[in-house]
Amino acid sequence: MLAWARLLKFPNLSAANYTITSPENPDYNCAAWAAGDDQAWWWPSPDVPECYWPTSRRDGSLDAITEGFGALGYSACESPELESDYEKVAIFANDDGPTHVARQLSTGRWTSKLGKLEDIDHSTLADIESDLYGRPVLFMRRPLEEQEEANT
Amino acid sequence: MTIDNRLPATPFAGTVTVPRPCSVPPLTGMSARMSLFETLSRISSPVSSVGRADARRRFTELAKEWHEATDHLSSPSQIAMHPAYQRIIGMGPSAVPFILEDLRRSGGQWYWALHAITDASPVPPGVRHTSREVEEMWLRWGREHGYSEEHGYIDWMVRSVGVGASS
Repeated sequence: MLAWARLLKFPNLSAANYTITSPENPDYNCAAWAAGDDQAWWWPSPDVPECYWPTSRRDGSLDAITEGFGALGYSACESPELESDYEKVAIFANDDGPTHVARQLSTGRWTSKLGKLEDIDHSTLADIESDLYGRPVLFMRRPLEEQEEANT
Repeated sequence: MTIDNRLPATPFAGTVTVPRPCSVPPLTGMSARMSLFETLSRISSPVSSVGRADARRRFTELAKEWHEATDHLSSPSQIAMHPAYQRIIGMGPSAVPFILEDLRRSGGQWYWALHAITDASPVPPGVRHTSREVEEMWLRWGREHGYSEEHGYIDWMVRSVGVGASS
């Protein structure tokens, strides 16, 4: 179980809707995990070359995140509902801009890396909505064959 | 001679002065550098140990607050905007050995602070580096620039009075 102090940051999480799938690891973050990378920190950060981003736009914006995942074969879609031939990601934002990326699993559940903390498997996107992450503002999908090619 | 035992609030703004002996011929080259280094080490040793303990205590408190508040975040800019992180940046070069130590021990997005304090960029942009590679590049930079855990503070004081540059 997540430490109680962490649970306070995610008031919608409960023992019934999430499981921890890997321990704390500062080597990668949510965007890297959504992209299938568990070795680097991904973010379109303009002033931090230590962060990787697959496209040249690095202004920290939602558009930059969209372009980055676009380069991985994703395009915007209407909803987070499971579609058997697609893999989806959901991008969260609050008033400060993009905050988080979650990836949908083949079961329809979602996997999220919480910053440098744990990976969790959670039932719905609402489970991690919070003041700090905001809410999902964009959904993207890519055909599953592209996912397989991107991972080879 | 009176020595101001207070540490400067910001780097390079200090008032520590090194006495120049007038009755002996000036030393040159490495001899001068070693002599001045030893003199400075003796003069500043009590200052360093006290100031360093304070700096470590302050850093530890701020870093704990920052980790608790931001470890679940991904955006480096949002992580760096936390007030505790900004106060660590405000500590200047005296924080760098502690930052590198925390980076080695716990990882995390210390890079914004390292850039802000040191103006260094040891990591080539535009290339995917693993987090371990990035961390090692900064730790190596720290060793090469005298920010090792053992010598970081005295090296900062040596540079703050320009010993290496003037001798």
